Amino acid sequence: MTISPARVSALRLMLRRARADARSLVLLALLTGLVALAAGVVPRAMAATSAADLAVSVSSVSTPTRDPSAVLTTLPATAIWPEPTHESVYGILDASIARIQDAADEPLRTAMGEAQEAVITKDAIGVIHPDLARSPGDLALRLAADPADSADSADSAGSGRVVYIAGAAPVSWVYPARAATAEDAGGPAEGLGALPDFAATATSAHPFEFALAKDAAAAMKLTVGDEVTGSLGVMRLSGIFEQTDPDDGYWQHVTGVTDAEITYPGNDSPLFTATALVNPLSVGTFLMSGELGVYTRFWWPLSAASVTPANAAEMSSALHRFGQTLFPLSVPDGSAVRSVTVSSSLADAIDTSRGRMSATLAVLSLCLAGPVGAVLAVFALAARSVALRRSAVTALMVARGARARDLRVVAGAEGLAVGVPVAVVAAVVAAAVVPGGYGAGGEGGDCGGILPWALPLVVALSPAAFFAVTAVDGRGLRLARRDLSPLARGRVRLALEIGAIVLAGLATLLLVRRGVASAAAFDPLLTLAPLLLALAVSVVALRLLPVLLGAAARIARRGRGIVAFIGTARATREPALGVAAVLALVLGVAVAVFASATLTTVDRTARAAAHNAVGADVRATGALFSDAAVDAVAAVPGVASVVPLATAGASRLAPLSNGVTGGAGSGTSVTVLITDTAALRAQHPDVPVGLSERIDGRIPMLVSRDLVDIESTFGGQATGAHARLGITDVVVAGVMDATVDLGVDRDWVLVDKSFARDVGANRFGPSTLLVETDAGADIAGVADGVRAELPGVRVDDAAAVLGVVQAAPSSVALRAVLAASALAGALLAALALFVASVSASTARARTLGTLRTMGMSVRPALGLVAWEIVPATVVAALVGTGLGLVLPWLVLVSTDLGPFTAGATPAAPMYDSAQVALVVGGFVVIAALATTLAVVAARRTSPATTVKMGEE
Amino acid sequence: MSAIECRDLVRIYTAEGVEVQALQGLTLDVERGELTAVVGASGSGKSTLLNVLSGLDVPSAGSAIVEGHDLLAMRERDRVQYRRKVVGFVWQQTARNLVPYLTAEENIVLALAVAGAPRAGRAARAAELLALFDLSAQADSRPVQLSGGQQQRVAIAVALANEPAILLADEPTGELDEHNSELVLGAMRDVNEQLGITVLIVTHDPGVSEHVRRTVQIRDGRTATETLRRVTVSDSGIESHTAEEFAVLDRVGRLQLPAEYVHTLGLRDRVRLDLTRDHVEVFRGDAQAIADAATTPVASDDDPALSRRARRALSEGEAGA
Repeated sequence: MTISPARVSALRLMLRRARADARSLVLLALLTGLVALAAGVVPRAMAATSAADLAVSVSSVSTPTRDPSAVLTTLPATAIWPEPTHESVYGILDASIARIQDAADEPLRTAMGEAQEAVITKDAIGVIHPDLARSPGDLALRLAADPADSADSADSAGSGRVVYIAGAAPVSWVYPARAATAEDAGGPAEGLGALPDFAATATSAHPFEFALAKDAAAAMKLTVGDEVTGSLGVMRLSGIFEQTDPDDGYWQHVTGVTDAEITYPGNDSPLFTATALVNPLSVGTFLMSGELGVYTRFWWPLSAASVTPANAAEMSSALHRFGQTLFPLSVPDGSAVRSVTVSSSLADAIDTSRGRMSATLAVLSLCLAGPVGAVLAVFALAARSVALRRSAVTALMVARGARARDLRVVAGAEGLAVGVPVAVVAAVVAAAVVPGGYGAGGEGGDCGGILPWALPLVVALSPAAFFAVTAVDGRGLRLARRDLSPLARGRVRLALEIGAIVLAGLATLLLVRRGVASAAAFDPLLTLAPLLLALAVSVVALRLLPVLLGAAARIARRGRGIVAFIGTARATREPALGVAAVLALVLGVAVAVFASATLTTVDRTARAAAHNAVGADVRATGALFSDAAVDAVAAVPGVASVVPLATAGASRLAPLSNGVTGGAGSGTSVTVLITDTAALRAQHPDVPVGLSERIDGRIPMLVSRDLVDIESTFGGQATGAHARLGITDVVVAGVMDATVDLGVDRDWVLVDKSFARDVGANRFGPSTLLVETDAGADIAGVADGVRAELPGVRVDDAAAVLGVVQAAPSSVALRAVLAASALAGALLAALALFVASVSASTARARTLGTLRTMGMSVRPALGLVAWEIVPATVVAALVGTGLGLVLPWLVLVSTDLGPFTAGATPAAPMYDSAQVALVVGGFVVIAALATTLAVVAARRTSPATTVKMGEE
Repeated sequence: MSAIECRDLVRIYTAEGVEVQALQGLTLDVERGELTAVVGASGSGKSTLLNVLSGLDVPSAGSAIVEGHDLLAMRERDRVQYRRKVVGFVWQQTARNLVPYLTAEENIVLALAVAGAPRAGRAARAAELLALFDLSAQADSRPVQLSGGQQQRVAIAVALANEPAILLADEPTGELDEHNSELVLGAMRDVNEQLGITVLIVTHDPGVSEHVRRTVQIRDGRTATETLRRVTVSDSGIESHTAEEFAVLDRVGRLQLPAEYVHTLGLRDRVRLDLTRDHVEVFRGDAQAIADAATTPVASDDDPALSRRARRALSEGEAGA
């Protein structure tokens, strides 16, 4: 019979070979596809997270702090009297602003919009309502001018930011002129000409005009034409306006315009403060008046959208450089050139986001060690399993004259056929599932670019590499004698093991010495170090295992049962699980435990930091709280204690030495807090008792830690030191730790409410309530309860602060990364266990066959399987748990977790034993399932057949 | 020129401080076209010899020249060509000789493909070989569908695919029954006689020796004895098979005495040698043996059986008397 040439081609023979191992190859292809999918999705997801996190971080910065802005305490005007013009008042400023903008680097320069300016009085002027009966309370006006509204400015149409709905825009007001006198000149006054009359004030005939926003005017019960009196004289409301766009960034720089702010400054009458707009050319009056301080503010609007992942790094650098430069402004008096710095917190927001992404990527890099190591182990196991099954045919082909190189090439080609198509499909699917994150411009920072395509390519080539390596025994084509001990290769293996341990130590040392990496990118050292560590401990575990099993074998030999005896003997001499499987197991457990510990550390630290940021679990501010209100809040379910806190404003604390203070003006300016110290003790047990009773006629007070840390405050010993607070004699009764946040950052003292009047408050009127909740209570729910009791009051809770931190995209990504890598590691370890068990099934079937012919029943056979798997798995789980408990240290040393913990840096990892036990237990269950599946899969081989057919 | 020429071949395996001397100075010559069996007990070194001759193993010392190829001096590249073109190999396990998922014909073609034979002629060559062994009907059968004997014959066909000069077989009938063994050995004999291929069969089954003209026995890594078989036809046309066993003498005159001789005579440590005109006598060398020899009846001077030493002893004794 003739044979067609097609039937004899090498390709066909290869296909026949592949068909014989179809099941293994399909499984391997599936795994390759899944890994390639993950390899394509993860970088894209990280890029998307990076972009989202950056957007959230940048937009969370308020407009006034984001826009690069500068403040002058003066105005470089040339001529402000008697006839100021826009050019004479604002000319130099405008020119300087243009120069400063040109000095900015890209991409900042392009992103900065057109400059905006405002001149605002430093303090509000108290004014008196024309009709006290109609007045809602005390009134104060801050005056602001928008140079763009100047009548003779370049843009004569005005800024267009306001539209007058009643009255008209205010006109300018300058001091009237008077003739120079001899006094002015210090001699004859001829030739001096006119001088401004500072004694003059605005009158009804020539009032100082101002305009208010609609809501502010309504709150202050003022209408157009009303004249209020203040330090400037008669001030007339010339017009009421509406803001064209209340959300315009301008009104966030010039605050208080839209509505009046209501405060209660120590007495019962409310104070209404609003910012009024005046004519830009009236600014000269502010400058000339000795009482009205003024500051000039200019800024460039910078939209959050102008910061992209692609330009974030450059924008941050440009902002930092911009902020560190002193820009000179010329002033007309010819004196030293004033300099101004332009600041923006956008750089910090960008850096915070990049820091978060850096930390996330660092944690991701470390977590990747688990799945990557397990995947490599599974690939190695699968390839070796296939090679072992084909070893007889390989030996045959070698005997027939095939070259090792050719065999490797054929195996590699087979690996390519297995890996490349699925990987391509997976990469395309990944691109569809998570679009974006790639581009020539490196969008997505360092996790975009070509990485989402390069990684699946590496995965695609892995099966080919493993197949080619395992295809032929590396010792060459010469046969080995099977009766000689396989430890003939022992020396090579020992050298490799020692090498692995040394490398692991080196990598860890490098990591520890390097400290925190600055780049927001995948950190290969953080992936390599734990992988090598896991390899090192796996190697050690495998060396120790025979020792343990030997001891177990000796015990088993004394017993009557056969299973333990044979089980330990097989486990020692014919181990089913090699380095690859044990490594996968160790990594799987380690990553799972690491994830649990890291999550615990981050959560607990963040919770504590959020609590400190608020000062308590829940904090209410913004009103005067009566005793009834305090009791109502205390009655809310879940509330453990309420501390009312009042402030008596600032005072001067002067320590006494020898009964004498340092003199007027000496001492430190501190904030005086007043509270119910008994209630405070309920929340902070280290508050000393007896703070409501005088000590030797002196009022006892607590001081903040930072006051004590400054030596000049109290010299040596703080507690017991005598001092004078304002005019009151006080004695330091205790020091409160810096972690106790009572709403004031630093330099505060605290006295009991019974001494409220003594320290300058009319009475004890708490404006802050610190609420601690019961253990395990729902903080957000308690906060809602407090809100219900105190409508209109601002209520902050630690849960909300924590929520903001945890809502950041990178925080979400961190949790997802930890959870996913733990799961992936566990599943891959289970898969490695499955493959190793299946590979060992041939040898097991042979032993079982022999034992069955001797009369052993089925049940003990399962015991053999247990002995094969369980000791190694238990040791691997123990070793992996140990490694997993150590790995968080690596993260703390090499990563700044501050962005996830609301700024606090955890000093040491924290462990939740229950969670760790659950994780390890879950892993054991998965491993048991994998083993059961492997046993079931292998049971289909009849032992009788195996005995008859021999090893094949 | 000999097809196979081994001189003082040594192969030592070292592992974990243990040394195994599989071949301890083996000397063997096989002429072209010979059908030779190499027999020996387990551990005698015969499989090692075959691995060396097939190029799958490299000897530690000595020399082995097969069809002009020096096996100690060959590089890996040469070894590959050697395995393709010079030797064909058949193992004992039938399952190991053939690729289980390929048919008989495909197995032969695989061997041709590995050696790089032109694609055009592969099919024809496979058909030719299958016909040679009466296996044309089994061309499309996979090994599991063939009997043990058929499998081994296909294995021989595969081994001969690239027209090697030498066919090496390691216990080819080890797993077969008597009938199939006969078939396989018969096939090898045909290959030897019809194709002129030198055949070397390694076996521990003495029954195989009866099918070959020359049997070499290996003991402790060295050749011990050889048996040559002849078929003589008498004048009346009756065939008689004769087998003569020889002890192998190496270059320096060492030989191995057969085990039963050594055991029967209780030979140990030293032996005495006596040279006669045409043979060498071997005597026990211990004191008792010497005493016994002195009391043995003395042969006459002219007795050709007398050894030179015995004659001298006699003459001295006479001189002294």
